[in-house]
Amino acid sequence: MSSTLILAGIVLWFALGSLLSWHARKNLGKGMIEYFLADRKVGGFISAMTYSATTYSAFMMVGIVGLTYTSGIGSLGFEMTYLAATVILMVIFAPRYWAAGRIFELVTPSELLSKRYGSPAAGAVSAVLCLVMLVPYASVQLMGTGYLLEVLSGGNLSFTTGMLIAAGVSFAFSWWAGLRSVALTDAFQAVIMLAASLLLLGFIAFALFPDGLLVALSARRDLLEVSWSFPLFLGLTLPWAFFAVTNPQVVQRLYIPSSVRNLRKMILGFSAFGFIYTILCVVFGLAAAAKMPGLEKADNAMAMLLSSVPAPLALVVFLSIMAAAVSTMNSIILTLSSMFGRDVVKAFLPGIPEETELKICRLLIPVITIVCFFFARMQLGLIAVLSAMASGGLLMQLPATVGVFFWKKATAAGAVASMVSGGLVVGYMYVEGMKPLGHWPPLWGILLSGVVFVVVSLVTKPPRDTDHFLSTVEGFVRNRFWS
Amino acid sequence: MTGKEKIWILFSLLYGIANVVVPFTILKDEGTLVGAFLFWNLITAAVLLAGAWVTSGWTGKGSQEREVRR
Repeated sequence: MSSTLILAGIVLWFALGSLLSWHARKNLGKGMIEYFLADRKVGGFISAMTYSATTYSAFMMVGIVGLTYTSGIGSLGFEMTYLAATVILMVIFAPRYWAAGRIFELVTPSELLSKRYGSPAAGAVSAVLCLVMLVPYASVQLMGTGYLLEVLSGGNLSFTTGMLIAAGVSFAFSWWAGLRSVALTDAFQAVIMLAASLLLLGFIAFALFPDGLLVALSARRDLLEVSWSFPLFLGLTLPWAFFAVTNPQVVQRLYIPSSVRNLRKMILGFSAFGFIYTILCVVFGLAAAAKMPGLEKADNAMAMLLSSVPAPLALVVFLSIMAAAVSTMNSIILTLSSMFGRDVVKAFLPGIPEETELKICRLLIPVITIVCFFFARMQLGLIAVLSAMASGGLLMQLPATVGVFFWKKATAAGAVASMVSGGLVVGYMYVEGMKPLGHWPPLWGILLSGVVFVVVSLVTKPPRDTDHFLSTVEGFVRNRFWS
Repeated sequence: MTGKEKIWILFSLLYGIANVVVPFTILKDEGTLVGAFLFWNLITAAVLLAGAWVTSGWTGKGSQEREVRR
């Protein structure tokens, strides 16, 4: 594909996104809740689309396609389990996060830990864990864009150019108007992601496989058998199954819908988006395996598939992958900047005015973007380990998060000890490549984290206002959601 | 936790077991589109539809939501 065509497409896409950002900025008010949560007044459709675009990154159209290409439909089980688990968790946790956010005027997910456990340390540890784990994950979004641009342009546009473009757009969309801009541009990107994938499916089904896609797939029995081992399935699925309550960029979105009805629309919209998008990505992987078997590098399957389709369609699909990367990246940047300001800086300087706090948070947006950019240019092996570690490391917040809503005896010391011990063990096992009894680090990490949380909580004293916190949130949830 | 939520959790546990046991045993070597491929699509669709049904009562009471803000 010609570099000019690619650059023209990127400029057009950025211009449309910028128009939305500019529109969002017109409605921007003052304060942390306004900037990071759009004043909790986001409608159902936009909430659903920003949740979807934040969740589904470039990993879907590159990683899942590649994974399906090499190992068949085990990847469908993995992604569908993630989707179903997210909806299951949202039914239980979304009302509680939404209620707690409003009652206690929370901005970040970690702030919930500080409030419930009566300890800024609990929120600060959670925020630092998220910073350590999510910077590599965000960096991979830049790398994915860089590689794809380089391959599609035949090397005329470099890996670094691709990363610079993705980083610049992510920064612009998040800086201009905070979540108002990110939510609107995310919705725009989600529509591009779905529309481009449907167009690609149409081309594959009717042009690439004239005898029928189903006939071609039926001929590849090996891809349709479950070839994954159970430890591999568990190792990949376990951290992702709890993504909805452990990844701050999606948890923060549970604070934003304007009403109970819109919170429900967010869940339903995400369910529909996730179901369709997952099937499409897996079908692309199967189609690539049927059409062009024997690729040396599975992650190139999508790029090779795009080389078989007309240039305008390939461009639209490329932009959709870039949109997926940017919409995940800008959400992570925005969430991390709010967490660093609210949960780390404010923990040390509790008296700072909100205006100053917001300035610090906004200053962190370019800082985190630059850190991600340079991180992406570091040793690739290290990044691969760290990004694989990200979801496993973030899982270590699960016991403390469950304890917030469902265990009276949970304490700040238990929460801190479980996150620190679990995070360190998972990190060590990933770096050393350890898989005791064939099981992946997140399984061992969450077992340790859970035990430490329970034991330390039982030997320490819960905060005095635990009953008040739990009864207030539960009362709200019963009245507004389940009555 | 309400009664409906407890039933939801029970349903989720049953889903979790079936979601792993059926594809990794009965359907493991079924190399057709009506094997694990169809199963994982159907069982996920069932969870999503159940989610829509169980949340159908989430209508909210807008004016009262603001009253509890501090």
